[in-house]
Formats: sequence, structure tokens, C-alpha cells
Amino acid sequence: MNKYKKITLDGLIYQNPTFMLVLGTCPTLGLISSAFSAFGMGLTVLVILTLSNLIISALRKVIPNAVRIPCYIVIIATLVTFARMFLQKFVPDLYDSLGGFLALIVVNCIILGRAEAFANKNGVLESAVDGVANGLGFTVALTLMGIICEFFGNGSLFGLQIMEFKIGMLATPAGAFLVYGLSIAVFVYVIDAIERARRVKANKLARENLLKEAA
Amino acid sequence: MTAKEFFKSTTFRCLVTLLCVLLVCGVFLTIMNGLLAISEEEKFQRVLSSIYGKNVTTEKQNISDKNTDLATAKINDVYLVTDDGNYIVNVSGKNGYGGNVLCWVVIKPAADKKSVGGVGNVQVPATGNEGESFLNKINSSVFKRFEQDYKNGIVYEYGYDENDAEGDMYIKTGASCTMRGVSNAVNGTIQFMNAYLSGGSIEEDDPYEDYAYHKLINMESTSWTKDGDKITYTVVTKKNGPANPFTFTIVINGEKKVEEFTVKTYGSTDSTGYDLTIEEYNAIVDANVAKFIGKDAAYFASILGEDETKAKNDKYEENELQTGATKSTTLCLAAAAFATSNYDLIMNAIEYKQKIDLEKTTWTVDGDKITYNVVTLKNAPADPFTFTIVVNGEKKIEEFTVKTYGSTDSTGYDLTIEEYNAIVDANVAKFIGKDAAYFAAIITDEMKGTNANFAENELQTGATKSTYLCLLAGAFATSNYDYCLTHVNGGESNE
Repeated sequence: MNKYKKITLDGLIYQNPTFMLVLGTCPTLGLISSAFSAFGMGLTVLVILTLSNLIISALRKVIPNAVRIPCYIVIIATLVTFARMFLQKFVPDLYDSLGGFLALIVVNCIILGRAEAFANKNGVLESAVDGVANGLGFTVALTLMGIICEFFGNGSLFGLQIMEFKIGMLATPAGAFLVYGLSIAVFVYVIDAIERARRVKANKLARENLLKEAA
Repeated sequence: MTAKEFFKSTTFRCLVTLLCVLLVCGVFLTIMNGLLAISEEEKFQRVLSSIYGKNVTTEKQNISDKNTDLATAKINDVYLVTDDGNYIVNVSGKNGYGGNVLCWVVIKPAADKKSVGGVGNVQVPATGNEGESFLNKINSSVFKRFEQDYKNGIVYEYGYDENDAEGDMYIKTGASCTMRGVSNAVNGTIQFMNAYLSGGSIEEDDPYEDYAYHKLINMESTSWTKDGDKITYTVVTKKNGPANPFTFTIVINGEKKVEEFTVKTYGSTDSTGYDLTIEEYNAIVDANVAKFIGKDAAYFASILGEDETKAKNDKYEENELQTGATKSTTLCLAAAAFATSNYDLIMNAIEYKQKIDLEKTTWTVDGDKITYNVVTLKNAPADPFTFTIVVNGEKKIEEFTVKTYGSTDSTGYDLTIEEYNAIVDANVAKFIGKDAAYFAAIITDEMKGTNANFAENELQTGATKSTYLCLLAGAFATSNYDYCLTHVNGGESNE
């Protein structure tokens, strides 16, 4: 398999940071009560993750191993501060809706995790693709859960009121926790089912080939 | 390690790398801050744009000489919007979830420009309200309700109360504490702008202004009981210079003279630089207060004078009081002056009048029976009730009839008005034969009927706001029996 396709599928599905690795739970639980906030947080993380992967990968041979973590933190903090300035200046609505969670991206374990697990060991292009893939995986996961929570918790979608019926608890972090757990269960079940079907198909094919050879 | 070895070592490389990363990041952020920083003016223009949808011109008003720190809010800035003549006020509402809630409130002046004519848009920015974690739960349509509700005369009171979680909430949002701060901000703005537009300023209300000689008295800790024509006070004073607060028990008789004056807690200290021990100070105090027995308000007033916080030495000599503990003795004099001067006020005070419409409430006396027509105030969401209450010579309820019901079905509970009324009827039926002590036991110090008290007295809950009004009416009728027996028929003359 093409290595970029593998990196992309890993970030989006097989090692999805939200559903498979359960990373970045703080903004997930805090922001998925609104689809707009969830989508905005996802996009912000995508940009910061891609840039941090890119920079860290480019500097991986310059930064001594002993001080790599402090260096990564400084780089990520700089990018987050820049993102805050940018959003406050040009997208104030999103800046307001993200609130304190925006600054907390500095300690988002997806970003530091990808820096340590991937960008530190791979080239600039691969790291950039990994950042985009993981960022997209995070964004899609957050947005999907945001849609579910907002629809059932507030009866609206991206701020547009759709129905009067609402389950208030789903608009709270406790409700988000339930939705998060159920989403993980469904996601893992679907991936497992696909994998199982693929294995069955491969086994069947192998058995047929063996039978053919034996015949 | 030599210098050469150090410069070739990993330690040096780590140090340089870290410093370089820090330097580059620092320079980058400095440049970006210069390019992207938002000035206060730009922030203000954003607020104006979000309110008006266009750029408007404003004039900052000078409020430096006004009292801007109100009980409910702190007024930060006031701007006149020259395009439409409205005012936009930057205000911090007190008692939010994480402290003060920063708000922008548009105020529309009345036609004569002398008072507030309406409330316009209310904006609560996320920036500056980071402590309000649940702010995003308040839908923007909620802020728009202030305008119409002001026109409808709806008072914005408010939010979560620890003693009554579902209390008089203006709007339920899921962010009650933040909403309380916002409501406080709007209320404070209306209060301030009414004073500002009329050319006046807001004076701090003194809730005890009716009481004479209360400047040195800790009114919140001071209490009294009435027994016939005697009043027994427990007076707690404030600090007076080096003297710490005193506590006294003072009994005033029907002749309005001191019958007993006991020092329960001494406050004298030995920090004045004089060569006296605390025991010697206390002895002076005891000797002085012993001379208070049999004295009336005029005696104490003549020593304290108009200032009421100082007594002159010549007055001490004139009245054979010992000096040497003058600050402590002044507290004793102030306590005695307070107790004697306010005898009539306390003796004739109407009790349990918080939710009673005194202007509309009347009563008639027939022998030893009093028939009240009690009209209550609103106790949101319950509207005013009207009752006919007969109290007999034993000061007990003989009849308690609801003439006008005030229950509403706006509380979100699944009861009809008829069902609320049935609960009220069942509860008031239990009031027959009850006296003031019964009602006082249910109505707590915080003046709220609690569920536990309801259960203890076999009262039904479910219409607690309405039942509370019934309880207060019962308490009013029974507690003020003596007063009403000797006074005119109520109504406007009550005041």
C-alpha cells in the first residue's frame, strides 16, 4: 500500500485519535454540545497539528533528544498563541465559541503525541500528511458527535433550530460523555465488522486457491 | 570540564537549541502580535457593529464624579451614540458564576431625556467573561427578551439562589448564575442611567435610616423582643477607635426608660497608650453603665449630641461619668440611646410586611376581633392574592378565606390553575385556630417557606409560592394584632 495512503487511513480510521486512541478528550467533552464549536475546534487542531508536525519534523535532526519535549511544547504553544491571535482578529465568533478550550490546545495530547510518535521519526512531507489525516480524523469525529449532541440536546443543527424536542442532558458535558462512549463503541464495532469480513473473504479466497491447487 | 569541552558538550548544544527555539518563537509572536493585536477601540467598534449592524459614532460620557459601584453592578463606561441618541453602557454585573459578568447594555432614554425609557440590546462578550463557563448555554434570543420585558414591566429577578434553587428566576437558561450576573448588570445599568439622566447620583441606601442612633450599632447582629410594654434588646455595637465591639442586654420599660443595662461582652483594649489594664477599663465601663438605669432618650441624647458618635469630656463631668474609657463608654451611650430612642418605632412596627401590599390592605376592629382584608404582592410566578382573615381575642385565626387567587401555570410544572388553587385551599384550611408562633415557625429567617417546614405542618407542596403568600398573610394578621387593634383601619395610612 502506498505509504501516504496508509498514513491517511491510519489518521482517519485505524488510529483515529478520538475513537481509537481516545486522545484529546478534554475539548471533545467540552465542545461537542455545539456542532459549530466542535467543527471549529477540529479545524483549529488540524491546522496547528499540521504545522507543528511540519516544523518538528524539519527540526528533528537539530533538536537534541534530551530537550525535545520542551522544544515541542514551546513550538506548539507558539502556534496555539498565533492561532488565538488569528481567530480573535479574523473569526471572532469562532474565537468566542471556543473560549478557554482554545488555549488548552497547547496541552492537547494528539498534537504532542503525533510530534513524539511520528514527526520526530519521519520526513517533512509524511509528517504533514500525518498531521492533516489526524486533524481530519479529529475534526470529523468531533463534528459528528457535535451534530448528535446539538440535534438531540438542543433540537438544532449548527445553531439553526430544527425541532422543539430536546434531551437537555445531551447538551451538557455529562451527556457528551455518553455520546462519546457510544460513538466509540459503534465506531469500533463497524471497523471490527469490516476487518472480520475482509479476513473471512481472504480466508475463503486462500481456501479456494488451496483446493484448486490440490485438485 | 574545561571551557572547550563545555562548548562541545551536549549540555551546551541543548542550551543553545532551547534558547534559539525560544528566541525564534518569541520574535515570531512579537511580530504577529504587532500585526494581529486588537485595540480596545477595535473591540468597542466590534461591539457597536454587533449591536447596530453598522459603524456608529459615539461620545464617551464623563462619569468620574458619579457613584458607579452599585449593589448589583459596577458601571465601567457610558457612551452616547450620537446617531440615535441612545446610550451604550459597559457594565460588570455582580454575582455571576465566576465573578462579575461583563456586559454591554443599550439604554433608550425617555422622550424628555430625563429617565430611562427602554432597554435595548444586551451583549455579553466571551472575551472578558472567561470565568462564565456556561455562558454559551444562554441563547442570544434570551438577551433580546430584556427589551420587550422592560416594556411589559417585568422585573428581572433572578437567577439561582442557594436557599431556593428554583427561586425567582427571570429566565431559566441552564446558566442560572451567569444569568443572575447579567440581570444584575441590566438592573444596575437602569438604576445608574435613571440617576445619570436626571442629573443626580445614586446614594447608597441605608436600610436602617429610620432608626435613630444606629451609626455605632451593628444592626445586622442586633435583635430585640417585645413583651407587653417592655422591649429587651441584645445590642451589638461596631468598633469605635481602639475599642472593639461590645454586646449589651438592655431592657426598656413602658416609660421608655432603661430598666436593665448589662454588658455581655466587653470590647475595651489596652492599645491606647494609656497606663490602664483591660480590667481597669472594664471597671470604668461598669461604673458608667450603672448610672444609665432609669434614664431616658433625652439623657443620652444630651451627652452624645448631634454627632451621635462622640461624647465630650465636659458632658462626662456634667453627668458624673468617669473618663479614661471614653471610646468604650461612647459605645455604651450609643447603645442606650439606640434602645431608648427607637422604643416607639420598634413597638409600633408592622411585622411580616415583606410581601403585603400595605396600601391596599385594610382591617376593621369589632370588639376584640379584627377582620383583615389582606392584599399581597406578587411572589413570582404567583400573582397577588387577596384574603379575608378574622383574628379573635386569643390572637388566633378564626376565619381564613381566599378572595382572589394568584396562582399561575407558568412554572413549568404539570398542574392546572384549579389544581394549584385546590392545594392553596387545603393548606389555608389548616390555618384555622393557629397563632403567630405557628406561622413564625414555618416562615424561616430567610423569609422563605421550606419544604421541610411544609411537611412538618402537614401542608401540601406543589403550590409553595402561593402557599407562602398565604402564610405571610396569616403571620401578618396574627403578629400585628396588638398594633392593628389600636391603629386606624390600614390602607394608605399604614405608612
